[in-house]
Amino acid sequence: MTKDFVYAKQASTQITAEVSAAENPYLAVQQHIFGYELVELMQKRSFTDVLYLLLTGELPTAAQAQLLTQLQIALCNAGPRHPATRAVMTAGISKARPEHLLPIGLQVLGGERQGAAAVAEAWQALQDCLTQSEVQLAQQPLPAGFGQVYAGIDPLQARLLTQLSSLPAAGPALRLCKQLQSHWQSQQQGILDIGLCAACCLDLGIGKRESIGLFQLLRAPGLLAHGMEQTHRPITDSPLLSDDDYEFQQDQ
Amino acid sequence: MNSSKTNKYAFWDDRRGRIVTKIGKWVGGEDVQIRQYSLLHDLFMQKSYMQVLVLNATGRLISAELACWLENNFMVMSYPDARIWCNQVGAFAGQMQASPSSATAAGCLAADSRAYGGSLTSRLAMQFIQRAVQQIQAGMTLEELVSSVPLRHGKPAIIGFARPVSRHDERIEPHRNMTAALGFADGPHLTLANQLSDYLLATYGMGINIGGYTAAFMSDQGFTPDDVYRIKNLCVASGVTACYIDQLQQPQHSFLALQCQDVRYDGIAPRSVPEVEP
Repeated sequence: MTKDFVYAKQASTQITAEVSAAENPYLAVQQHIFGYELVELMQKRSFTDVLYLLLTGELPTAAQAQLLTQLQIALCNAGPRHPATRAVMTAGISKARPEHLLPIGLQVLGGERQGAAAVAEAWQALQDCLTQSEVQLAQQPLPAGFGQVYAGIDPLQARLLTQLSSLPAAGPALRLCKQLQSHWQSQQQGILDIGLCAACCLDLGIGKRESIGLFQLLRAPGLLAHGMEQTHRPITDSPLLSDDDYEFQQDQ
Repeated sequence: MNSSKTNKYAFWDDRRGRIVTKIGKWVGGEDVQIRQYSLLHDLFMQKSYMQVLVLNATGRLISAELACWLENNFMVMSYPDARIWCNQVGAFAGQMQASPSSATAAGCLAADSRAYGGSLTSRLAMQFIQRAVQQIQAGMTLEELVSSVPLRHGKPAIIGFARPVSRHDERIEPHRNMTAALGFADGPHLTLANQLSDYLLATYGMGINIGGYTAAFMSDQGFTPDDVYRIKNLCVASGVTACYIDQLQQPQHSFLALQCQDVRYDGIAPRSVPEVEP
């Protein structure tokens, strides 16, 4: 091995410690997540608490847990008209293997156009806005995480913002979003789901890159449910366009 | 614990920090071994990409003729038409501006379907035709074979015959011509598939489709159902990519736009959330 071979001898993590069985070093009898024993977490804390622990390294306060729980519900179902849900429904009804449905939804959801990849951009934009004065903010272009849906403000996301920003753990990022929502309303620009997720992540101390995955995770239940529902229906239960409804504009 | 005779974990201990494989090896700066072949000296500029693909998937270095057959078979498994389910997934990925890899992989996952797609359906169709050849050779008649299959909508549910969208399969005749032009004779599987197609067409109006034809041909070439599942797992990829790029720069929500009312709801009517019990 040459001396410029600089790779570590073994992988490392700060998240999980496993205690091996006395008889078999390949089996774990205990698992600790950032120091907390798994069974003790099961007995004393909620799934939301442990999710926060996994992403930040610490258990949340009650107020933080409340904010994350409500964000989980807010994002749990993108609805049957969202492209990622439609992709999953299409795959489900056309009999793709059921274990592929969630990955298909998450891959489509991972896009840069108001998808998971755009959450990090919104996280950074809101973080930058937090360091600016009100005068500077007023002169800023529309930050990532805000925009239009079907040529208007998304009224559902606006309602979700109002609810989340009313919670005790709502911090400077959610307050900033309320301010930006008012500022941009006259131009028919509003908070998007990706902005909502980014703001909550900032207030909860969840990192920029982690915010991408959290968005995917929180959107997953609705994708899963809509996809699986379609698997129980015959393939003929969804539309298939006729040739008359398929226009091919051939270059001359 | 470390004594090789008494160590019951020896198998795993031997693989701690080691990879044990027969598929090949990259020797940095020199060459790559694929099975028993040198990539740069035996394959590069001498064999086709399809030959190497099959080599990696099965360990078999197939003839140029068989690779040509498969390449043309791939060509007709991937139409750039977003009405086809896997392509629709690619189109939605384009709408979301997902990465090309995500879009194409998502479409290929969608086509890993028991209804269409050419990968899982090939495995299922090959399992059927290989079992059917054994049954016929054991004395079963064609009529008995068909009647042993469960009915769906009054027709025998045989994978490889008829299609999810019931039309004459435009790919069969070109495939028959290709098979002959490349010098392949019909073996026992293709012979039975043709007899079955004639019988089903006359009795139920359902003929062989490209999945059934491919399954029989590949069975005659000595492949197992799992071999073909592995060879064809990405066969719809290029059509998915086409539908993805078609939508990539289109306005948001423009692909098959839906109003709220366009999705029919047939669930429980609205009701209030009960209070949490103290």
